[in-house]
Amino acid sequence: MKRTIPLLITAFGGIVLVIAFFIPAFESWGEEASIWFDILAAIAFILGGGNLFKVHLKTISDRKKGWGFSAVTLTAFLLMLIFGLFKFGSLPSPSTEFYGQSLVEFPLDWMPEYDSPGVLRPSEIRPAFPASIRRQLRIADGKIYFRGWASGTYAEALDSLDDQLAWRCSCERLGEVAQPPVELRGKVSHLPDHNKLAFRGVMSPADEQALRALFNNQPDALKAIDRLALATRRKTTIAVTPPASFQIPEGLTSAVEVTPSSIAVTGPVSTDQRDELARAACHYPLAKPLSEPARAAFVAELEQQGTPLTTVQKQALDRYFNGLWQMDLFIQVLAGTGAPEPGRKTSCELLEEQQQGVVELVRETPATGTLEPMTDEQRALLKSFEQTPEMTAEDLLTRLKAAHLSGPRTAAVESFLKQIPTIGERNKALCVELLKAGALSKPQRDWLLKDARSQYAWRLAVGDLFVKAHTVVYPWSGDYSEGGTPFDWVFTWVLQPLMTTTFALLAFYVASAAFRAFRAKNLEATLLLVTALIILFRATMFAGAVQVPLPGGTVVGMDRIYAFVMSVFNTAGNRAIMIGIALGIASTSLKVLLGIDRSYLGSDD
Amino acid sequence: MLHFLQTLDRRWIFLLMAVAVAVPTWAQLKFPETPGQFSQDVFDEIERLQPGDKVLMAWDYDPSTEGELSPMAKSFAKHCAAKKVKLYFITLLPLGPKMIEKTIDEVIRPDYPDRVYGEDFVNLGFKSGNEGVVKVIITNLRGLYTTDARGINIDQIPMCRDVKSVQDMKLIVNVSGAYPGTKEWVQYAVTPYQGKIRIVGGCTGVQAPLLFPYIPTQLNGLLVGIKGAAEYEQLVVDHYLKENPDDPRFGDARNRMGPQSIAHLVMIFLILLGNVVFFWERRVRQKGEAS
Repeated sequence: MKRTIPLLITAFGGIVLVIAFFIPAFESWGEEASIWFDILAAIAFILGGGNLFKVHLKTISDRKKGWGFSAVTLTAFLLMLIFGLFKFGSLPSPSTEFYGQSLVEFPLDWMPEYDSPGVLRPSEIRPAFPASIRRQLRIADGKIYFRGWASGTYAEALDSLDDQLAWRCSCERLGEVAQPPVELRGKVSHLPDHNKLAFRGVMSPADEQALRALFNNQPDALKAIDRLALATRRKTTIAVTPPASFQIPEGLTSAVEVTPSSIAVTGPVSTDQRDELARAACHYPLAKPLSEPARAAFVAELEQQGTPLTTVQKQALDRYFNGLWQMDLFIQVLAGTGAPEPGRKTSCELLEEQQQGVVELVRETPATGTLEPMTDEQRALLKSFEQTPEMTAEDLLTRLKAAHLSGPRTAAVESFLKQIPTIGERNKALCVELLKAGALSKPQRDWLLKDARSQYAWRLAVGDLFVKAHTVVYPWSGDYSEGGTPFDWVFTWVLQPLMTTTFALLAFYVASAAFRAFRAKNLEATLLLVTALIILFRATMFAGAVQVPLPGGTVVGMDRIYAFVMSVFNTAGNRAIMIGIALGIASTSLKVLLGIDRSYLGSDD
Repeated sequence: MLHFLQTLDRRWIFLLMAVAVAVPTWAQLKFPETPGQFSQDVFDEIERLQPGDKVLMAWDYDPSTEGELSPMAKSFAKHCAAKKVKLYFITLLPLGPKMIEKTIDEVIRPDYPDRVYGEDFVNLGFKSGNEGVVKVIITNLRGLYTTDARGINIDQIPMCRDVKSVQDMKLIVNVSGAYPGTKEWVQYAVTPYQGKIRIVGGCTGVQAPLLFPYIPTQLNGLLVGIKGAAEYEQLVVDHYLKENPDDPRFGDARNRMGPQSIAHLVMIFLILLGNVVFFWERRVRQKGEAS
């Protein structure tokens, strides 16, 4: 029995793979068998590790020759295993952490189920339910049932099941119904893959009441909502002195508190909020293009801090300033922003058209309206922002609003302003450019980096607040090989150099062997020798310069000779060997499948 | 003299080889490359791709062969990214994920900051099983890859939603250190679906003789060792780095041709010297026998 079972597994697996290869209808059998093979291959890693452990422990225990090497091997093995398995130093994966949201355990079964009339094609002629909605969707009694709230990939996943308008219209209707109450939209969501209920920001008493009303008769769900409400109201404080120009952003006035020596936040912080607190809320002065006199004054002030700039440094400085942003270019881009875009009809609208007898259904609707030209006042305001050092970003936005700049264009201006470096960032980048071109004294470097350093310190403090305000959901979700982790350190500074060195040592041994063994002792050895010389010489940079004259006046380069050798002699020889091996494999495999050869089971017969 | 050569201590040969590699490295010896037909075939194959085509980037090498293969891997990534194709990175070696990360960090992130992970490129990571993995994903990618290397559900990755198997790929680009590598991709992916799947590869010099029998029907192009990488790198630089042809990130292969050329010349010299010794010995022996 001990031998029969592995024998049967081998025979069955092999025969299935042979059938799947030759008969397309059984292709999926081959997939199944191969997946099992891959699972077993993964398990083989564990067995291999165990075997390595056993062999080296025995060597150490018996104090055999070279037991010290075994000790090193085992130590390295254990170190990599522990670092890799426990993911020391790796941060949780951002894709599973849901920054800015509080999460609580909330099984999908607790969520309400919504339905809409709808019929789907039979399962034999439609694809299987996509994994993303498999647990939420069911079809019964001429209705589509969906548990939880429709979000993200809902429409795409359902559309993939059937392309008929009637089905897609039913799904649209269901998607409209399967939503949280209006007052909670954008704040609450359910994550079916994680079995969690998520809430964005701080939950107000009104939000809590609306959420509880949904799960009135489910005590466990209500308890979970209580925990969620508490989590969203958790206060985090860090000791830091905010910049003098710091102002709490409008959308965060209820969540953020600032004192001269601390900043506190209620609830989690999203990445957008973190970035806003770190930069925009500080109202740092932005770097604007400098006129010639202003540039000269800047250079004079910098030179006052230490030695005069060299000619190369002055050129680098000019290059940097000339490469800063230009408002004229932005105005050109802004003028084309906000053009009306074509709309799209819903599937229900198209279905209605179809039922009314329309034959050619078109989903896109033409764009309505025209692109309003920018006014001279708006252009002048943007130009004056570039030319007036005192004008702040907030001033510009206020005045543009008063000048009736359209919504899309205002959004484009806001995005543009966020990309402009602050004076601290500009001076830091300039410092790097000047250092590349020559030396700067320490006072000069300090003068250039002063603002950047204080801005960086504030950014670090906000980052600290962001991390502390976040409750980690999956602490082990990070990548084991992330840069900076102990695993990465061992890989980069131990494993990689060792492997590369070992491989590189080949060159030395091959050279020695070539000198001693590569000799024209007979005709076969001479042919091999000549071939080796051609292949070796072709892989040098001098091969291109060599032309070999052939009988008949033809001249060929080394590249052609190399191609000829590889494609004709090498291919012919290799094919003969490969065909021989293939025949050998076929006959051996047949013997194994039929149980004639059992040597792989450890048998002697 | 003959006695000296007959009893030459191999450490002198080691020293000679070390000098042959060190001096050109230190002197940064570099010559222009003229692309050969094999490199041109690989370049043309990728050049035929259209923006949005799906390309499987199978990075089957690890640190042991990184010195020979990473320059061609970088050039492949640069060329494919410049063609605006969708890149699906995958590896059959346990240490391969680090090689993929390096390529992404050194080529795609700095040169193409507008490319979005999951929309323009994705790292599907490592799966154990060698050719068994190829055998499955050639008909059913999701049978093995339910998530990417970061653990994101494959259904949530936009560029993976319409990929059922490797047969949906327009091209496979394989960088192969040893086993499993190009040979396994050719045998288990391309050969059963010949005409449907195309593949170009890059391999170490010692692997090349085993792969040439597959060219050009089953293997549509092959870069061999540093020489092939240098030729291909020259083509990529000429076409896609005109504004910055001296970008040090895309000069590795050509830089390494200097030490390789001198080392190969030393090898040729040693082989010839060995044969001089051999014939000299034989002549002395024959004279001795005659007298």
